[in-house]
Amino acid sequence: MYFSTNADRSDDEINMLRQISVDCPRTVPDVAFFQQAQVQKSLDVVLYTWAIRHPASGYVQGINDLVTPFLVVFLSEYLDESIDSWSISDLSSVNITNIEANCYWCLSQLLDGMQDHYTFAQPGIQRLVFKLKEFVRRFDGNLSSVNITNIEADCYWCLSQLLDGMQDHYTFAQPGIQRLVFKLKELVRRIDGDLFRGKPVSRHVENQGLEFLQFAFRWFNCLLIREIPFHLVTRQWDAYLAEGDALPDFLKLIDDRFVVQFQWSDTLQNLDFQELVMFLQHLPTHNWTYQELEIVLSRAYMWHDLQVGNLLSEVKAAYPMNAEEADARISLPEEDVTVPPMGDKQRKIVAVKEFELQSDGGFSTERGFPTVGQNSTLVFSFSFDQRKGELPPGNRFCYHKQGIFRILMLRQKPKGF
Amino acid sequence: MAHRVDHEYEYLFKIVLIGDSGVGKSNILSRYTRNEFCLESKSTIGVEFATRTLQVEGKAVKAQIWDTAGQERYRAITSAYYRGAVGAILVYDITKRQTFDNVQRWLRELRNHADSNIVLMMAGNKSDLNHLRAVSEQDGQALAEKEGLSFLETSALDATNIQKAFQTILTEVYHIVSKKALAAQEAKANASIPGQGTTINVAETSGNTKKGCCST
Repeated sequence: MYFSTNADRSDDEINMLRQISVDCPRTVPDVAFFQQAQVQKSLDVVLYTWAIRHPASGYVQGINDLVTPFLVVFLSEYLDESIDSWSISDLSSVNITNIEANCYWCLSQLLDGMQDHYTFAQPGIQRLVFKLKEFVRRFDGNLSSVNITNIEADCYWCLSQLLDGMQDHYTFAQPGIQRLVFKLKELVRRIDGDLFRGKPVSRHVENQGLEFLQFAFRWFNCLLIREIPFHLVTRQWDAYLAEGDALPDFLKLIDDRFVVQFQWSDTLQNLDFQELVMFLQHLPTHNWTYQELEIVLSRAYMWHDLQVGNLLSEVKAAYPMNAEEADARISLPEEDVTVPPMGDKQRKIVAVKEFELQSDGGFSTERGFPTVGQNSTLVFSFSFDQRKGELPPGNRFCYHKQGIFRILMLRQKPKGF
Repeated sequence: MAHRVDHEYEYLFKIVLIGDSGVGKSNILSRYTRNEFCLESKSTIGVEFATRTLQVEGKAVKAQIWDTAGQERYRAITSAYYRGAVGAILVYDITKRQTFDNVQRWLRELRNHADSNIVLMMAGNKSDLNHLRAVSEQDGQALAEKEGLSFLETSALDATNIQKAFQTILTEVYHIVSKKALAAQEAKANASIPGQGTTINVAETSGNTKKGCCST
């Protein structure tokens, strides 16, 4: 289908091809490797194939950025050292075709849950931007100064947000859940008055007439790829993929960290409208190292863990009848609820060992992911802050936040590719 | 809270850059505001933003320029940025006929979403690529006349006409705004004559010229 001629294509398809051919040369232009002809060709194949198989959105500018981390990870299997010295002509055409198929598959998995980010008027992104705004408003200021009562209240609030966001992903059949959400919202509304005091960044942003959409749109559209140096992107994406279905929510938290991180909030205070837009559209991250990124990710992770963990037990205690439904909707396995929210390192390392043993004989993964056989290649390094040291040589895999592993890739082409 | 007010300009004009993707909108902006040009710039997602202060007939004017994404899918987002814009530069690529053919669609877009008396200019960009030309200057000129737009061929790469394009559109905007301000003053004088009783909201008019475009 990629190789058919223009005569067989619809106008939409021709337009899409044209748009993709405009954007391929502009993909990560600051890394020379992406200018190699075959790399561009591969990008083109992956993007076009994805686009015509997802007609609701089609290709949208910025999705080209989203293929690049996958491409780099798959290529790193064949090409050594730094990306600056890579030459794609060292690969056979069979390998290249395989890599294209792998990238396509990964891109599809990544975007399946958030196709409405890219459909008309991009409602998914608009919703995320709105949530980010609410979130910054609530969590502005110093984490350590937030007391327990506030955290509990915030947790209720976040749960309602969390469930809201999933309306698109799951059918909303259970009236019990709806009632639950309603109750939580009501509760939050009552607490709101206390929480909105003295939240400087959001108030300043509002006073200046700045809309979150004016700077956060690209963050969500390109999943923050453009906001950090390219050599850090694979690390960032490790964290994304580990989040699985909860990714949109996790993104919101990372974005929040971008707004309130590193005394930027002090900087922001002193900027007027124009300076604010320019600052937020060109964040001073070009000199970032792993260290800065780790801080952002682990903080977002911490919030996330805190919310999800606390929320589930809160909900269970308050509404025992609905606990199962709540679990199912957040799609976390039962045992996760008992994991201490801030993470029990020991337990997670044990889980790694178990996985290693099982991977020889095949390991069936969660919904939507294929079974991994003996010869499968697992990608994406196991890395989350201090646990990085546990990476078994040659076996790279992805770590799911509460002790469940998700296998993200195997050497197998999608049907009909 | 620190509220700094920028006193270095008298007028603040919001200008939008629109046109198909890949025609060079972002480079026109970077050439004008930072005197930079980048052959391999990334595609614009949503909108980007820059400002430059210049003199128009002895007045300091701050141009607040919104550079929009060209792809159709972003229209729903970018059209929100037309609000409050007093000028728009509609860019096409002289080496790509289709970007010129789409000018009509962009004009429709503006008529539907922008202020009705927005000042329009059309720019045929990439004039340095004369050997690849697919749209003649006459065609551009003819369309501009038909639609009542001012027109220039520009090159962000060699900086041809970039300054001139912005100077032209901002001067035109300035004329309209200062004429309005004058009319408002006269109206105020008339209104002060006893018995005439028409209420003219002066504050609103002066607000438009000084500030406020940004808050939309």
